[in-house]
Amino acid sequence: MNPDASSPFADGAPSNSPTEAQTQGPAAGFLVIGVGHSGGAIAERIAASGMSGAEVVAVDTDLTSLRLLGGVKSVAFGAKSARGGGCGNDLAMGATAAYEDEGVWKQRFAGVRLVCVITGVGGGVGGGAGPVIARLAREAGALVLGIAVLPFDYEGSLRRSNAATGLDALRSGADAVICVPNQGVAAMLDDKTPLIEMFTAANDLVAQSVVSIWRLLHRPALNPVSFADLERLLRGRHAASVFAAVEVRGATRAREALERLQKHPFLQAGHMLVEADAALVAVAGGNDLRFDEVQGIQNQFQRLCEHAQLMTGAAVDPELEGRLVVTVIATRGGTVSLPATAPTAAASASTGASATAAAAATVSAEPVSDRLAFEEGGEPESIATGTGTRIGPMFVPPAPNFNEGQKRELAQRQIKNSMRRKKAIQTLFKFDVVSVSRFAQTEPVKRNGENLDEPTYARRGIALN
Amino acid sequence: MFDPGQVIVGLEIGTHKICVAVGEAGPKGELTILGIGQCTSRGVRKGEITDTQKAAEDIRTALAEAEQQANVEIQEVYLGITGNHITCEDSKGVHPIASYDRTITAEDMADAVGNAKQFNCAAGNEVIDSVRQDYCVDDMTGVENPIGLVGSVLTASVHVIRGRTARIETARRVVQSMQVSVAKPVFNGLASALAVLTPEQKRQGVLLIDLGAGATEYAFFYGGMLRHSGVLPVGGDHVSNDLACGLRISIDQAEQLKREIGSAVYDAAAVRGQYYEVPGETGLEPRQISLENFQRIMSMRLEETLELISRDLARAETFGLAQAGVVLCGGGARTRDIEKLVYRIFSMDVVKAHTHAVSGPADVLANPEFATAIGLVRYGAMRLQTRARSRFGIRATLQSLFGR
Repeated sequence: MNPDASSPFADGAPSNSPTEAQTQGPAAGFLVIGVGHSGGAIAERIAASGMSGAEVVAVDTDLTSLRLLGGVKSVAFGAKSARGGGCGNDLAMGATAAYEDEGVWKQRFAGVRLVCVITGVGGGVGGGAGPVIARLAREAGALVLGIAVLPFDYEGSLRRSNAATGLDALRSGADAVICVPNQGVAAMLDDKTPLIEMFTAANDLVAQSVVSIWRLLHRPALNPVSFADLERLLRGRHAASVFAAVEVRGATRAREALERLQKHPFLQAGHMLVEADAALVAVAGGNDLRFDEVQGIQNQFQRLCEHAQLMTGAAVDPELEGRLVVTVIATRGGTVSLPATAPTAAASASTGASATAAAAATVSAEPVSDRLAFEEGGEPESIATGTGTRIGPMFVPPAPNFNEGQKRELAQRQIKNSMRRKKAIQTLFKFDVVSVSRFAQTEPVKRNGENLDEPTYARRGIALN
Repeated sequence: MFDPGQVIVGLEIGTHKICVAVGEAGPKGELTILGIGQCTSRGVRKGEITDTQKAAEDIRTALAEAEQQANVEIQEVYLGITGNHITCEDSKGVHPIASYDRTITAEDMADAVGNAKQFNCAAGNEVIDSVRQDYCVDDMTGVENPIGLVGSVLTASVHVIRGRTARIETARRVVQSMQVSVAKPVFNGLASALAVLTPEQKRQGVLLIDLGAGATEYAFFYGGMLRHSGVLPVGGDHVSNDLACGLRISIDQAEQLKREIGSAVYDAAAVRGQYYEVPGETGLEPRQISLENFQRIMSMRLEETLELISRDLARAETFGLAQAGVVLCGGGARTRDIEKLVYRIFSMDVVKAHTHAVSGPADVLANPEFATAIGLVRYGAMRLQTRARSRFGIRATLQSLFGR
């Protein structure tokens, strides 16, 4: 345990109560960590949206960027390696900074059931420290859901290649990873949107989705969705998992929700749904949630994802009065097959009154239903769930049992690797300049934002040795 | 008797070569290729003319060669068109049946098709070709011949191929500058399909891919009808350019190596650590290039091109039903192991094209490069046939009205 002033969960930003995070145990066992600049911004949005029961923290090496965040608990780490500054797009530096405070992280993660690591993998802190934090959380016994925010296309090749490396690292560190391409958000909004709004919109989309997943798991539901469902859906399918959530009001909200989901940037204009081989659709609304709305939405998804094993969920939350929230998680290309144990439609939902009564009963019985309760002293692997026991992860690296020296060496090696990669990028960049020469005088062939006149290998970032 | 009207000429202004095919249509519609003229093309990039003077010179050479070989004087050509400006899409035309008894007539059909052609046509674009798919009478879909059916709305589904008027005009003017008129511009992909696909294949469902130097055209047929087509302005030139950039050799060397040792599939085990010696240019030392990189660059480009096509074809609803597989033509069809790559991407049987139902020199017909030019001749022959038939039809109608 490091009593250093800038160790994790010690005072990072002036507005925080320094000891609160350290002393107070994670009440609901759900911890949301926004790593780095973009992760912090998203954590701020999540905290603002009032995620009751979960703890939301923004962590960064950069004190300046943490001070800009308001309304979210912010914590600095890596005081020795980063000295209170950023990591300057250096993944190795981010990783070293995270390893520096390893003991504190581990202590903090003890007893947490689910850790959601939100990180912009293009940056040094996000791409370097994010995966390390995810790994540490998993080693401490928590289930880790990584949310990797990929940079906008314009942010350049360094960030793009950083994102690829960081994403790979996050995949091996976390139990499940969901990718959120920022460029997809840009496609959704008008090009003339002010930059600040673009970033806010991108962050909001992620925040909304995280909150909706949280609600999905913790809300007393008529068709419940358990963490086991979620995990089975996501595990081993990292790259090809997408998620989206929309919140709609008004009389035609069911139809509007469907329309918005079909245009949702993360679902790639509905392609993801058609190609998905497993999907989860959860509908939540206030007491006024009607049966036909739930039925209509779920039926439509049955049609849209005809090749997918579809899991459905429906929940009533009095807080959502007048609103309808639809959360979709779709995956494809995985090898895990889902057992056909999707919850069947609750017959009791046919009348609004009985549905509400059922929900109210669950609420009064236990605010957090017991399928989510963390069993004290139990191994995370042995948590019994509604549908069965937790399936082991497809890839579990053995817990590295390193001493301090070895860890440092590992970090050093990562630095070397990243240096090597960077060199390769530089050479590719030089190629890019001359590559379209033969077609320089002609109209470029653009498909999906790529200039096809440039060599394929250069666009794919393949280094020729 | 020699009838000059029956000599049909197809001219393809390609990126790598300009090709002229001279054919003769017999009285029963049979087609004989009399001669082929070709010339290396210099003024064309990605299927479109970029240098009119050079293009004109090359076209003249090719036309002269063809005239000499076929011993005819070329007056009119069917001109093949391709390029980035071409858009191919399905269009629907609606026509209300206004007649008293609501019986659909040939005129209603023509009107519906006309509406489909004009629908959504952007300014500065023109329709190059339109292919009827099927009709829909009220809510009855998939009608092939609606004449005589009773209904209130006739919807024609037409596959329309449009192009930028200005660019078609450029090609037309270059040809006209040598006192040869253009009978009609034709989309290259359609022409190739006419040359190499059999009616049986078109019924079963077949995809034609014309792997040209500057552009790759594709056409998908099912149930005897053209269901989808398109052009991707990426071709063999791009492969050479990629190789030249990646291996730092000249474009000409890349082109030559591509033909000699190129392969569409990257076989990592076979080429790992192997090198190929490239003779040095202008007195430089010979260089060693890595075969691994060579194959990787080449296969990656071809794979990407085919994947883009496959993604586009996913829009055609009936694509999954195709049984006759993929037919490859164009110079790219000569690439080693291209069948393996195509099979991997489309999961369908792959064959290299052979021009069918045309007589002529065997070496010409077996050449996948000549498919487009021969297809243009066939297009012309079919057009003349339909014209003759419709003229006959009008005469018959007039006779039936007034001749009695």
